[in-house]
Amino acid sequence: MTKKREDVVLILSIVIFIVSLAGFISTNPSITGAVATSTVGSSVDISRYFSISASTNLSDGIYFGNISTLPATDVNATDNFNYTAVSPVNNATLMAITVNTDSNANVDFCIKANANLHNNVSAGTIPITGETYTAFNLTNYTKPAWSGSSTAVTTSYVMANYATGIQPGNSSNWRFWLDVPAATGAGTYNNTISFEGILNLTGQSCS
Amino acid sequence: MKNKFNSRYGILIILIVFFILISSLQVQARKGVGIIWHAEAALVNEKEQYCLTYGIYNPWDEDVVAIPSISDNFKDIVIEQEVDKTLIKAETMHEAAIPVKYCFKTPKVYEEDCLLFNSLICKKECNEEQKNYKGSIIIKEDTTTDLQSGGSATAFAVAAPLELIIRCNAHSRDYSLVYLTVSMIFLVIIIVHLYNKFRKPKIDRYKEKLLKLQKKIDRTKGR
Repeated sequence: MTKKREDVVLILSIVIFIVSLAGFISTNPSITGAVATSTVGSSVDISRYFSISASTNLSDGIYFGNISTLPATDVNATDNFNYTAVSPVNNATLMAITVNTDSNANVDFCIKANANLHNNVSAGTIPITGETYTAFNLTNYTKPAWSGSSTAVTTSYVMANYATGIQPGNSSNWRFWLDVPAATGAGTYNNTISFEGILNLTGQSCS
Repeated sequence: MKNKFNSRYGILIILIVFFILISSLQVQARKGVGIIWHAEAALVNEKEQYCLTYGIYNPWDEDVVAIPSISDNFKDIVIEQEVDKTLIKAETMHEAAIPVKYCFKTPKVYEEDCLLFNSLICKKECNEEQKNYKGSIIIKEDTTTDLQSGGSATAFAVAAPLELIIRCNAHSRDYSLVYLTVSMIFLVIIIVHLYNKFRKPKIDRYKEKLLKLQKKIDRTKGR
């Protein structure tokens, strides 16, 4: 009688073992040798490329010269109207960023400043709210627009007005101005202005 | 007649001079960075590594040092950026771009309903909105403007957009651990049962032991 009961327990155990093993295998298809599918990614099958370069005057920095009367408003960057030639290009800006012809995309430009203009000796600053710019895709005496239409730089990238959709072979031209408050101490003030070229496409934003 | 001829030449010369002036107004671009990319979006699974290769080029007439980078949105998930800083020779066109590989590993972003320890016997329903990482791959020009006086130094970069869309793979509750545990328990029970069933009865084992002992005694006496 005991032996018979033991046999029943053994049979039941075998049945449960087989069922649970089958359950485990069915929940892990890779054990059975079934093809394990893994979708890694999907992407468009075309290439985009563009290259930009700044004019020497812009890559050398944006200078505002010596300011001796304070407060000063809308002080021109030294290269704002520095192109000397016959009309109509006389007094054009010398600060530009060009999109190379070896590009297949139109480019928008974003701009930001790292900080206020700062004097390393006195630790004084000139607020970037007074550092303004305009841009345009051609340049002459009136383009890019003058300080009346200028926009202040900020510490995060923003897409610059009228510096969008620049086609390969063309340039985005820039002018800069600076406001210096009356309470600014004498000295040299610096910061860094960064430009970023991004793809001209609806929905794109500066990073 | 001669005057007409001269005035034509005059106009031609003025046109040439004007053309040269206009051409020279084109910025004196000397060096710059370019970026080439082959994908702007990718579907990736959670907790999976995904790599993309970008190209850096410099079609301008001076060598440039380029610094590959990424936007802040990707900083938490990038696990590999093959190149830190690289010199791109002048007149490197886009066909000859220098490859830079970026690898990302996405975290677990979708919720799972788990019965044990928040990680076992789980099911995923994917009712949430699809999640993604959106940002840019950035190539900066390594410039250190040595400012001569007050003003702003300038820095330049190009950026390619990238969106990593995290796929949510819905699945029913995963009972594999339960099945495995139960099968292991019953395997042990079966082995114990079989061992007890097929080993010799106790009396036979004692008899064998006794026989062995008897033989040993006999051998000892024989000496």
